[in-house]
Amino acid sequence: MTDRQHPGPVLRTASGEDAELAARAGAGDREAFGALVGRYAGQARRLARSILGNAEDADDAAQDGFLAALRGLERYDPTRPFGPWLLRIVANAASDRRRRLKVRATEPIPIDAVTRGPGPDQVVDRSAFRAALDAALTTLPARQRIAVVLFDVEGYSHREIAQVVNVSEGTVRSDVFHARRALREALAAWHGMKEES
Amino acid sequence: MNAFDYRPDEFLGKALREALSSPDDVAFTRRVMAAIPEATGSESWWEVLGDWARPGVAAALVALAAAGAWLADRGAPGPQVPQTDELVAVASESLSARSLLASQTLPEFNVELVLGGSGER
Repeated sequence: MTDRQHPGPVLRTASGEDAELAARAGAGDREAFGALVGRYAGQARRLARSILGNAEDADDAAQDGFLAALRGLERYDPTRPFGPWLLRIVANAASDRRRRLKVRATEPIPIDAVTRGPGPDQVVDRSAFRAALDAALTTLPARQRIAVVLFDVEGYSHREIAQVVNVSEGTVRSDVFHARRALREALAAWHGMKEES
Repeated sequence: MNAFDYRPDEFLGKALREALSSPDDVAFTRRVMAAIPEATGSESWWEVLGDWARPGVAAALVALAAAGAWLADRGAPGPQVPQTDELVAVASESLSARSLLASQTLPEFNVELVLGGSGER
């Protein structure tokens, strides 16, 4: 099967525009950098959150990533897409923060932990589902989380994700596969619990 | 769709997006922009001076208060005894060496005493 380099479910910004904004930002144009931050804020925050597990640390890490990117703009190759370059920096910032905070993100959480706590009858379905998914995500190794979020949420190709996590495309495909399977199993278990109750 | 599918999983993607998204990207963008000067050390000179101004003024006030307290503790000065140098200086002001040499009259006795008493001039 061939890798379909899909445009993704999310509207992707033109890399030419990004490159131009990056060039202006590198020359000291704060407005241009602000435009880049605005474009990638959502992606960077979601990626950081998938690595760190909570919104506050994720925002700190995403901010660290943006500021590191600003300081390193001269190393950005404008012939390549800006998103993977930026998100790699954000992923590194989030991973560094996770190490510093000693977040137990890499420790596997028992699958029944996903369904423990208040049952679906006690909470709003939507937030319970969200919590279950969040918990299921934390059971995955960080690289699988990054891969599935960038592929299924942000619409990046395997090749682009490979640049972000610095592994081969084959490894990214494998990571996406394993992450999807684990998440679907966890969500199916949650749905089963909900139907039983 | 199965886990091998190379197309994005719309359902899973939407669910993950909802689970991971934080509100207010605009506020986050403002926060990042506000952190730039500190992160890049690119504050303008007047911003730097502004930062220094408050602690500088505070330090100056503390120094002034300390100096005032020290001066107050010294109390009133006692009666001043004129020093030889001062007397010579006073005498020299009224009767300089040039005026002594150029004078047609003899120098006054008390001025000679003062000048001789200094022992070195």
